[in-house]
Amino acid sequence: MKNRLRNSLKNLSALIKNMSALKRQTLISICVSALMLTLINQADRYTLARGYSTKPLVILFGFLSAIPILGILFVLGRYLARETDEYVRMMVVKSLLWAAAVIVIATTLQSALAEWSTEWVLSPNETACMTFDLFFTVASIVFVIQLWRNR
Amino acid sequence: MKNRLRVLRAERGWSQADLAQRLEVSRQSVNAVETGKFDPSLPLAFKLARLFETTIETIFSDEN
Repeated sequence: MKNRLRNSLKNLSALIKNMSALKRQTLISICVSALMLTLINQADRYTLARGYSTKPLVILFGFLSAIPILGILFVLGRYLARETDEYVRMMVVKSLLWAAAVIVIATTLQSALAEWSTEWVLSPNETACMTFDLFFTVASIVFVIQLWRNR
Repeated sequence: MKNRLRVLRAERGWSQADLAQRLEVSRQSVNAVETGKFDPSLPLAFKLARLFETTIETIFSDEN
């Protein structure tokens, strides 16, 4: 089990090393943004649970949560503008479109269910995290499927 | 669009990876162009023509 984990980590580091600088920078930026978003949301929850929330603090957390999202949009835009391989660029755009479609469907469905039952009501933080995670999970899956279909 | 990429590549004994390296694109791109799943842009078509020392029309032809 340990050896398998070690091998997987080795393979992952080799994969990252073999990536172009642009892809590596983009991947690292997305991971850092995801981490930032999680930390900001956790800090927001903590202050809310402890009763420290004030209006300025809530506004501050709201703006802070938007920073990683804007960062990712910037990083993805930069990646698409600089990617020289037109076929890879097309695959990335396709993956992002699929992810956007799934997000729109998921949030529409969740909103409709929330109208019907309070069990489905999500806090803005939960919605932000769900949207973010779902978007990149779907985009990654679609990208891998496209690579597999064209192996 | 039809293309003779596979034939031209085989004549030179190049693998898809070799051609991809020469074109500075991914192997998936070469495979997609070769199988007709993806039509390359003009710059890539010119690059291919230069690489195979021929014209674009020799490599690509309209199916109609």
